[in-house]
Amino acid sequence: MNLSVLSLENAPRFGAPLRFFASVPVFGMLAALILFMDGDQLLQSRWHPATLAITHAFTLGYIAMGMLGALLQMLPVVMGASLPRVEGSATLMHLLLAAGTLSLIAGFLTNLTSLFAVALLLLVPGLGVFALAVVIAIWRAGTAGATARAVQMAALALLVTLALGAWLVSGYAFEALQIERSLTDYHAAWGVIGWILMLIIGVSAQVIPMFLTTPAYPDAFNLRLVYLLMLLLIAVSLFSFAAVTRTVTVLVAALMILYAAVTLYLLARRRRKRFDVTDRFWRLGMLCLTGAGGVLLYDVLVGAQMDRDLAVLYGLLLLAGFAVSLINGMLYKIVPFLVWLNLRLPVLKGQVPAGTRLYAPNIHEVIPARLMQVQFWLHTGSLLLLLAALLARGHWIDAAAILLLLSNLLLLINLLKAVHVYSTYCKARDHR
Amino acid sequence: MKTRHLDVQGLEAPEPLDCILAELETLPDDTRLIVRHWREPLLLYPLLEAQGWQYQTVYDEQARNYQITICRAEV
Repeated sequence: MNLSVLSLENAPRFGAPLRFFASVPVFGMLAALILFMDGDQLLQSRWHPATLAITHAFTLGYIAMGMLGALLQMLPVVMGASLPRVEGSATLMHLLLAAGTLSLIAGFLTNLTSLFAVALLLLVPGLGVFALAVVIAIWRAGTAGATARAVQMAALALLVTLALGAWLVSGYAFEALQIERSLTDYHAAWGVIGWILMLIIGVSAQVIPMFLTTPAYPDAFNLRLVYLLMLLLIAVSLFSFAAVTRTVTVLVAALMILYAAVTLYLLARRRRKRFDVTDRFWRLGMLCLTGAGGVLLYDVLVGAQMDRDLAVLYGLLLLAGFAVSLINGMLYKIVPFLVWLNLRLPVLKGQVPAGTRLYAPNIHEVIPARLMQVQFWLHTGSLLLLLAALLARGHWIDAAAILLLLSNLLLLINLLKAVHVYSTYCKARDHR
Repeated sequence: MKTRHLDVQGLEAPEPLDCILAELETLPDDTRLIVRHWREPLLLYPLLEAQGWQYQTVYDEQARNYQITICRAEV
């Protein structure tokens, strides 16, 4: 198989991943609105419908949306694997994920059973086909690379998460069925530790040295972490005894902290020392991951039994703090890179004579640095206010919601600026 | 055959690709370019093939980087 030819020929055009990326801040704004409407109740319990609604606005609308968009692009270029009919598949998957997530959020907020049924019908094929396609595409490409293996593991974890989630949603959608609340912890563990954390660990081995000029991670470090996490998830799912759960929790927390520490160490040794907003987002994300690991350890070792504050604090640090920060930061690398790549593609493919470097902008000028920095501080401010709201109750939640809204609005504006640069260069090229 | 060296390990994507392509634009036929890169540049290969370059990639275990030799004739 000719891996190199596959890479470029099967990379989707700009519009395919961009559709996913532009939806990310839209769901971020939706999360901010839910926070604004139901903030007080939302922080009381992980079981509150508004808490479930905002959790899925982040996990599906923001995090999965960003990850699917990035994988569409990375599969062919980094892993030499490609999805069949990538353009059409991307359009359909985006539609199913966006509409399914909206239905699920609306279902939690209104408690209408029909909305849960619609969410089930849209999300199961949307995410299920995607995860299966990723597993098969990497297997068929025969890529033995560590990143491809890690992505395959994460896609399998997504399938488990989806199956458990579908079971849970069926309880809401069909009155004849019971809501199996006991499955929630497994659904969350496979989703957050399996799909989200394993994917980030696997992909970071490529993207951190590539975009942030750090030294490489130690040999096979990321893939070993992913395999360990997978084994721990399988162990805790098969043997649900208290001793196993405690041991697995301690080990998962230790691995989280280890990964964050190694990544922070590498980020401190970037070859290029100039200010980089993605570097800041990743440092913030790694601090939040360390905090989330600390909360888990505190729960097990000090025996706090994960009361409501700790469960919400853990979710806040891991989702809004860790995963959202990383995805936000990566968008500022991936989107300018895609603008550059798609403008350069005709040259790269030999369709336009060489020496036409003018056809693509400087990658650092696609999105204004100042606006990205402002957005970083809005994001950091919203996180700090959310933490303050959790500790002090009431007073800070509205301010946190406003900052979260502004942060995502500015992220959307910044991404649209990149689209504007792309279309401006396209027009200039076509007039030559 | 003369040799030119290019180390793109400290550069952030997509600068390595741009640097290599720029270097090739001025590379004489009797000279080979040896590039050091921390990862295998998968995007580069189809471009080299399209432009008629010959290339060979070797992974340096000790230095933990890839050495890509590019020239007009057989490497």
